Amino acid sequence: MRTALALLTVAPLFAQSGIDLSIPPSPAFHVLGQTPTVIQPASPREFAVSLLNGIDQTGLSIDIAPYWLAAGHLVDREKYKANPIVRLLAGTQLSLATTKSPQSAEPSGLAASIQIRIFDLGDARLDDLLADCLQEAAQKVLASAAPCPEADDCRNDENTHREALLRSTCRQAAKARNWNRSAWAVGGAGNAQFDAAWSSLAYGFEGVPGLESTSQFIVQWTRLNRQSVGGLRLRMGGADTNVSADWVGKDGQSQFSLTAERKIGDNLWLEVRVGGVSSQRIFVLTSFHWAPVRQ
Amino acid sequence: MARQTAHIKSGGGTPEIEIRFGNANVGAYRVFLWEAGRDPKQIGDTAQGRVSLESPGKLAIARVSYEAIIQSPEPGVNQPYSISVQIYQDGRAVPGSSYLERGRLNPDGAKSVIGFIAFEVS
Repeated sequence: MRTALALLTVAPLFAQSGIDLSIPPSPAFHVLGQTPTVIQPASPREFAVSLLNGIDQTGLSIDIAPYWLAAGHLVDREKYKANPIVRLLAGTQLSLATTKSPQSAEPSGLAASIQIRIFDLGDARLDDLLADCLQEAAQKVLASAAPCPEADDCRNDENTHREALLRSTCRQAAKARNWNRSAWAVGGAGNAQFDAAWSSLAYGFEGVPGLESTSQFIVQWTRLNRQSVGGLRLRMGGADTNVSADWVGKDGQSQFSLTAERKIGDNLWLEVRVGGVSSQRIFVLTSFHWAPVRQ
Repeated sequence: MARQTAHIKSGGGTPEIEIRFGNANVGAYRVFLWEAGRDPKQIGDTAQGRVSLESPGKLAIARVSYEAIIQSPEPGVNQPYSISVQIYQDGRAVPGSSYLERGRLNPDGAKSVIGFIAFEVS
């Protein structure tokens, strides 16, 4: 979850509501209300090691993409592009979280969750321009180096050197192209006492002149312990700077806000939000983050 | 670092090497032939689906190396990668030639892999 710095620009009557409808990065731990150490194993071996290491920790969340873990090595980019079932399976993530008190050997909390990316037109793995850009960068790096002899111990140094040369701008350019594409992701999480569900559907105005590269409309719905919250968002601008108009409905109340945000660092956003909620005619400034999940 | 010994048949056809990148990543590679007393010769790259090597007799006293770079289209750390290498002779996988490496890309979303293959001819 990105860090946002909210500037309170309205009178003291206003307070922050803290409503966040986005799908959390590790939903199972979200249900447990913890800030976890999240482990994301990339291979079956790492998965086994993570489980063994996690036994001694007070809290652990393992996020795995089962299909990637089991069959990722069989899926090249062409297969991924050609088969929507492969993309659906690859975009499914399971999360298992436990907490326990340091004094007790037994887990005191256990939650599970699932996230499914139904579709994502902004999926970077589908972007041919990005693939061509990355391929070209890699070929340049390979062409610039002499072949590594077997007898020399050049491999580690050479590998590190080549990897360092690959800090290209390909992904930034792709992000600027794809930031507002249509996508739909859903998620659910629960344990014995608590359940939650999320859905985030974004429309990127594909093919609509003037809006295709500048706008996105998001419909989001969250259900937390049998209480539903719905919202709409219209976002305009670019990947790193945009303004949005939000509406959230909860318990018969409507909340509106206007937000301007600008990315000022890798994980740091400057956000100015002005809004209000119609509750006994008191207007409130809200601060909540809202975006479709991207893996 | 990968080092394999592929068992090929002297009477078989020209072996081929296939390098594949999993997790829908983008990969590029080049393949070299190393003969004793000679400079390495590049015999193939990403443009070829399978790269033809040399005759079994020549490979018996040579080495083949492959140098690959894998990148994830997705930004962010912890992106998974996999690379698989397989040599075929007469359309069949050659014993001892399979190599699979899996792991995570570096924080910049890249991984460089260099491997060598020796040949045993029977």
